[in-house]
Amino acid sequence: MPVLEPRKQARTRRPRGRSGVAPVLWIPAGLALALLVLPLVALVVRAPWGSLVELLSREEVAQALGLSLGSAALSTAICLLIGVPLAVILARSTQWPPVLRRLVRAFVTVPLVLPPVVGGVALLLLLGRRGLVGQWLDEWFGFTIPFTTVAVVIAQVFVAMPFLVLAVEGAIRGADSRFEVAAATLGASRFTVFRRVTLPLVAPGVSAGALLCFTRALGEFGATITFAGSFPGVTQTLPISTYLELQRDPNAAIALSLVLMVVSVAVLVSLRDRWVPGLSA
Amino acid sequence: MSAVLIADVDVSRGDFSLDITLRVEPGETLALLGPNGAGKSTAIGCIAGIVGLDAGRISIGPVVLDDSERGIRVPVEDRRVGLVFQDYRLFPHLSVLENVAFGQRSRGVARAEARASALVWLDRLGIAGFAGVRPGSLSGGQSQRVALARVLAMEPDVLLLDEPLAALDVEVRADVRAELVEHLRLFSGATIVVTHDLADAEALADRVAVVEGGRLSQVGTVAELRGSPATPWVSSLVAR
Repeated sequence: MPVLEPRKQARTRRPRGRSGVAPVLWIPAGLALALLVLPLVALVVRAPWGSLVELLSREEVAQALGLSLGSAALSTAICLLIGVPLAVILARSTQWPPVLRRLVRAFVTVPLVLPPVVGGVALLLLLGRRGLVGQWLDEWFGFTIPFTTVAVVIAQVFVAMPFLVLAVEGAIRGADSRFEVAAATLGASRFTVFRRVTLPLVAPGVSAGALLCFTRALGEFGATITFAGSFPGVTQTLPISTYLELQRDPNAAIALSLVLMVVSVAVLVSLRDRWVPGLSA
Repeated sequence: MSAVLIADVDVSRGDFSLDITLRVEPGETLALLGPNGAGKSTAIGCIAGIVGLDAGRISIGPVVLDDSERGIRVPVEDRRVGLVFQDYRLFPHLSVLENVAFGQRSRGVARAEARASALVWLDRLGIAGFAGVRPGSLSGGQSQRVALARVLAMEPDVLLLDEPLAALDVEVRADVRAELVEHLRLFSGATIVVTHDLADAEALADRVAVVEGGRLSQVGTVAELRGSPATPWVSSLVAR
């Protein structure tokens, strides 16, 4: 066995017990953490636990919850259907001119940074009764989108799509293309390769993206209230209902907030450490 | 189908150029022998259609896969070229059975039929017992058999093996090599085995083509290589 004396010496020089963080950083760091945690603590502490069941079993609550879960599930499904192909194309766009790639990726990212209310206004200008496209829908088919459940879903798709696309794109770019080459040599067409090899291999990324997408859709407020309004049973989703209840019956608002929080935390827990590479962008 | 493989391959990538012509008869196994970076894997990549030719012509009997002069390039998935990769590349999300059935299913064979024929191949290679497991739990030798079964099940016109023994531990190499010799007899078409090991070439192949720096430096049997090595690299190889 070789003697390891020099190494041992070097090791004792390291400061013990600390990971090299200056003590002064602990104060702002603690403040930051408190700001993130304490509001949730307040929500839990002040929740009307005694009347929770009664509050949540009201008909309008059930209605808002049903609408929220239904519309968020539908918009997640739509995001999967159209967002996954977009993610695939983005991930495989290495041959494109860099300007074009950056532009498309920027458009995909915009809803992440855009105030949702602006998204709602923009959707009105496109699909409203006098909107760029909406006027024709109205004239030709007598079909108006704003202030319908369809509008709720469209608003949710708009704000939630980036979560799915960026997560899936990151997963595909990180995936091992050797298996795709192998599949092609075995006679698989490009679509078969996608369906039977690429997609199953990035399934964890897709499900992570879908969960984040669903949570974002479930919490959507600004674009929805702007583009879809707040008609009970039609467009009044859980977040909107929560906001309105805060003026009428604060206890009901707290109860609804609690439900939304539980769903969000559940999603976070189910994601665990599977942080999505694309989202850091 | 059993037909002669003729590959006239010319590829340039930066400083490197590969310019060789290979002819392999049906039922014959040719070892493509050479040092690392000689262009062996590139050559079989061209035959499989993964690597594009700059010039040349590849044909299997009457079927032309590539012809640069006539602008022919058959897409990878439409070639009936079986390639066993050095790292096997078994699909980790599919069972061994589904891996082996993959080729037929990709060509439109019904699921039950593809599975039945996959099972026949697994049985021939002595690994039917692993049909239901995922490739991740297989040993190197087992993985290689699955990779070979997967390629043979697609009923290829030619068979290409890229360093089939390189990924294996030294202890099992001789055994797997002996098995591979047996299993290659199951295939009646032209076979090319890429290797940098003379013992592998001797065991597996009827004839050896030595590639050095992208050019053929010697073609013959291992005995001929031993008797009159044409280059310093071949000399050092047979002296080992």
